[in-house]
Amino acid sequence: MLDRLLEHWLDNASERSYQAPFCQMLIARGHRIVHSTRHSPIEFGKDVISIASDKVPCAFQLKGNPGSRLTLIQFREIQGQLIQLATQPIIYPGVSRNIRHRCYLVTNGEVDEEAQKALEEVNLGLEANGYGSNRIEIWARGQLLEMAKTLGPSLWPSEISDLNALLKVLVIDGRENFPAADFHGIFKKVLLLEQQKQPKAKSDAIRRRVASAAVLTGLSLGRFSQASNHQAVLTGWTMFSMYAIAAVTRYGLSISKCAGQALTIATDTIRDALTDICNEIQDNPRLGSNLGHDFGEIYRARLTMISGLMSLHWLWSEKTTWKISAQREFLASWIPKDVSQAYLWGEGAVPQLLAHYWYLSSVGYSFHDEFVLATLVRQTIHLSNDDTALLPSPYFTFENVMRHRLAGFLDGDDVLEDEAQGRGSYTAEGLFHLLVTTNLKATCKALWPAYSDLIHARFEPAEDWQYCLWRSDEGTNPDKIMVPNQEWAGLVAQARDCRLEGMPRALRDHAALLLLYVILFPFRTNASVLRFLGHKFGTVWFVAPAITE
Amino acid sequence: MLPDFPSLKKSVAKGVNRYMRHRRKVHGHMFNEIPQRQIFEGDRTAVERPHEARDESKMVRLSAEMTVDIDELHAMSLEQVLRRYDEMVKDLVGQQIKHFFELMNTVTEKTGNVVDAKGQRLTPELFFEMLEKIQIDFNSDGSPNMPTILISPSQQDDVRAAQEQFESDPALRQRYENLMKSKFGEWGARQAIRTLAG
Repeated sequence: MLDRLLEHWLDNASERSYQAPFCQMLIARGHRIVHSTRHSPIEFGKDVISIASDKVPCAFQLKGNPGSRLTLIQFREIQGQLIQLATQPIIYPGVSRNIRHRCYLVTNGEVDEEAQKALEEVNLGLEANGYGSNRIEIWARGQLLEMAKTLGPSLWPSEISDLNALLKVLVIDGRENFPAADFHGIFKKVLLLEQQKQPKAKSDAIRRRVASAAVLTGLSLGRFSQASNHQAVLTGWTMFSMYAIAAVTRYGLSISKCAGQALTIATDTIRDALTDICNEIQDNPRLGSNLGHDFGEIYRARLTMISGLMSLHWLWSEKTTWKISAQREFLASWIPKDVSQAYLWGEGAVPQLLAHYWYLSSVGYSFHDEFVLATLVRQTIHLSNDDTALLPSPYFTFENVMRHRLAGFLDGDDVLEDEAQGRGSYTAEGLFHLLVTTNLKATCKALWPAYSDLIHARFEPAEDWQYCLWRSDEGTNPDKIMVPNQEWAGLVAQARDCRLEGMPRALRDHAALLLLYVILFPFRTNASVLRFLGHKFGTVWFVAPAITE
Repeated sequence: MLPDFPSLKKSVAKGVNRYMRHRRKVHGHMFNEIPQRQIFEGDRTAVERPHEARDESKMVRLSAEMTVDIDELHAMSLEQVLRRYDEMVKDLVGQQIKHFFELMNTVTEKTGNVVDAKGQRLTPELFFEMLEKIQIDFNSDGSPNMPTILISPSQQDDVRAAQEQFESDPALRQRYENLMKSKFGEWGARQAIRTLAG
């Protein structure tokens, strides 16, 4: 059954959607990926460059032939690139030019006999010119399937309930939201994250399971990729990354040894998805929707989410590199400078708005941008204190909020029907601490009475690694009552704590991934995370230095 | 599978859920006035008060079930089925209320917020003693957010008598007004110390 699922995936995957799982399979075979991207200019036809376990550099050109064959005509179209692939050395940092690299043409389809003969001719020509025999190898459907099978079915859950969850994901309409709840159950089994700890989970076992989970992620995202649902794609890979960190942390292993490469490929795929969203905005800057019904609230919620994601894309690209450099200029003009259109529909929107603020703060030239934060803090505190206002906790989605508001008009359950309003907040403490670090003391003093009157809620997983899960069965839900009177110095000391306590240490090296995680799963927002992210992405810090160790 | 009506039954199941939620409110009486918040994960709740140790509670699972013989079910109308569901909901709400009181007892005993009547009947004196023990907040218009008082059905006559005593005795009314003034002052003081100094 699972074998058939793999075949089905491979026979339907486009070149772009199988590239990330392919890299993960190479990693599991001992390769170190040094280059894999869909957006940078291709290096002489080299989609993926890796170093094999015997230290030999390998260059791969990927073709998508889902459910079909690589024909002679298609081969002729890429023949020139293949010859370059074989004859030009790999010029890339960290790749030795003294060792002759291996060349591969990879397709997820079969290869026509005529195309195979044509490749043999090319190889003979290359041999005659001193490039060795069988210079270019073909990896076709059968080879890819074998690679996937060694990582897939034997490690995937095979109980009926899990298969049902997997099948549900595979047949879902690709335009839907990513089914995180289903994935939570599947990932927990593959990565040994269920309550009962496995006594002997060694590095090799976890590394293999991480690769297996990656193949499963790629497989499950097939329909979303086909529908160009970039948000679902980046959600899937974000979940994979966090669950991989959870597994390695739980078993006390080294991230770099067990999941370093896999995380690099996953985050690169996430950045590709952000780049894709930006590309779509360039074609559709007014955010028109094919689904229609894009009235005020829905449009503003989409705008708030998209602005948050694009702000993160900016911040991430500025800290690393831009995949498409022209996007920098485009986003500088597109991301709204005026946040009045942003929509605080619930605490779930807070991380989106914060990403937007950090972007504005990083490109702005005046202290005026910091008042965006002050306004967000003020709104959050006042709405949380207001018994008549609705600012649902971050566990509720925008869809929940709209179903509640339109309960008389829409079918279906209103999960907010009995939820209490007012007096509680999950995000106010972290937001207030961010404001403290800007040293807007007068604003903080004015907000203090309402802020200190709130009940500050959070979730504390029983163990650090459980922070990375969509839900944790073990953990405490503390409600914190603030001291009514506080010294500024004491508050500053709290606000400076950026140690990210209670979470896996590995997250400290993945600030952008963590910001994306809380944008997508805002119930993982807490004061500790906001302080850490503020220190990483904020540009204004007017109190004593942050405490990071 | 034998011939059936899956789509209709899915709608019925939704209807039953809605009905049970509604009946929960009916049976919950004044407990519905207690603000509720859904908890999505974890196995504990806690309260952290300034300068006090964290007060943790383990979450408990409440459940109720009903068994209906298949022939009996086939002979029942939807109305009769709903009545059975209603009994189940009543049982569940009863467990919830029982747990609530157990929790309240544990917490109040821990904090010392208990007035022991030592078997005597409810009197205005005891009532004052209770009010003095608790914190009362006020609205912006100065009106108090008075607590809800839960009594056992056997105390109904005592409460009625105490109420009459209150209405007929100006000294008691004055004492009550003085107490509320003092509570208002305490509330004002609590608000006034909400300051960020330095």
